[in-house]
Amino acid sequence: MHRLRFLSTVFALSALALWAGAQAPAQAPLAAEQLKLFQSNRDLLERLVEHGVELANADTPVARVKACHESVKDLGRALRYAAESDDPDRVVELGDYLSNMIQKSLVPSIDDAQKIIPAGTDAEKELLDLTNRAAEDAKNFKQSIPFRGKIGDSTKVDETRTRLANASQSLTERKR
Amino acid sequence: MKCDAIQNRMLDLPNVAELPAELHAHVSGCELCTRFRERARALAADLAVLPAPSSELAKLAFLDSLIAAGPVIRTVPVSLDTGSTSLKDLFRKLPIRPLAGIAAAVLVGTGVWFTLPEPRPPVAKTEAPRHELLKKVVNWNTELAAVSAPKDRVAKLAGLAADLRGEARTLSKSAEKDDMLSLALMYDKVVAQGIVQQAEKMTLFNTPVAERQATIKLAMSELSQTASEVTALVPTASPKVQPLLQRIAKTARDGEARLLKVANGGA
Repeated sequence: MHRLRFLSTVFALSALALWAGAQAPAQAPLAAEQLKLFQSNRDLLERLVEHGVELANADTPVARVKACHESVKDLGRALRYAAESDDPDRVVELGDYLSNMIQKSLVPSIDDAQKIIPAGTDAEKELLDLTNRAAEDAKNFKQSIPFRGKIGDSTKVDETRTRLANASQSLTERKR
Repeated sequence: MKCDAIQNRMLDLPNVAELPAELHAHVSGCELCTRFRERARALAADLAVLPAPSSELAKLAFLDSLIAAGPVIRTVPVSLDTGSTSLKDLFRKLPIRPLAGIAAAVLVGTGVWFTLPEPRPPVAKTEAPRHELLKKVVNWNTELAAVSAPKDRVAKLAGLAADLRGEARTLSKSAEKDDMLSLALMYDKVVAQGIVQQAEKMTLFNTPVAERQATIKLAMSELSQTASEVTALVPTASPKVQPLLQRIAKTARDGEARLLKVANGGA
């Protein structure tokens, strides 16, 4: 009787171990991950939406450049924070958004404004000032990406840095 | 005994015909040893004239003699127990405890082996997940920067509002109050300060009526969908965000009503 009980216990424990081993690792909860992403981007999203609405309501070329510049600054500040946090993936993500925003929004807006705004006007002066500041900001955002640590070791960050350098150069070329 | 010793010494001699002096003294006086000597001498003479046998035949004869002689040490017969043994008695005699121990160890070992993580080949580090809404908002801003006509802006803003609705739906069960409030405020801004304002400007920009109607219809459809979808989410949403979902639905309904007014020429 004792022998039977001993064997049954051993068998039951082994079966339990087999079952536990066969279990797949638990999947990360999607909703929790989504919430975490939203929370980490919430402030940035609020500012981008605000500046997006400003862009939609921009009635003058300078106002449009200004709204674009604000969006660029939102992304640039977030990029700088990611760089300070030594987060290469985030640097790549935000750096790519930033270079796109500069190349596809800010630079074309500046070009349009320079064509429309008459020389010698206050609007032109404001545009020049905005362009100079945008070029300086882009340069600073690019320089905020360190060459050391995890970020410095990442080849993807290198690519992002190159794209940002090109975007920054595009703005510098528009300075007067 | 003495005769035996003498006879053995005679056999050791190369030629029994020539006896040493010490043996000769005994043999000459001993009839038994004399006869032994004569026989030995006769045998030696006979052997000398015999032809030498083939070595092969000698070997075979030797082997035959060995086989014929049989084993030197014979197997001692074992007395078999002729008594009957039942299966039960046989099992009782088996060493159950060590066998059970081995079986148990094998089972436990197998179980542990299965629980061990499988060695995985080194994989390249995967990128951190990206927030889809952030990407979409950045894209909407890029697109908004590229358009200036109110009808185009309304269409882009309606797309942005749809993405905010999608995020509200995704987070309805897990969001904290502040998160949903943030979404509700963003949605307010996009609808009230964006879509409706740009829709109202369409009349100022002399947008053709057909285009205006089509744009407003598209935006109203989006707002209507938000109102119904978000309202449907309320019962299953986290209680702390239910009022905020209702607020989003109300913003959508209010926006829809204002767009209807614009569509009817009331802007």
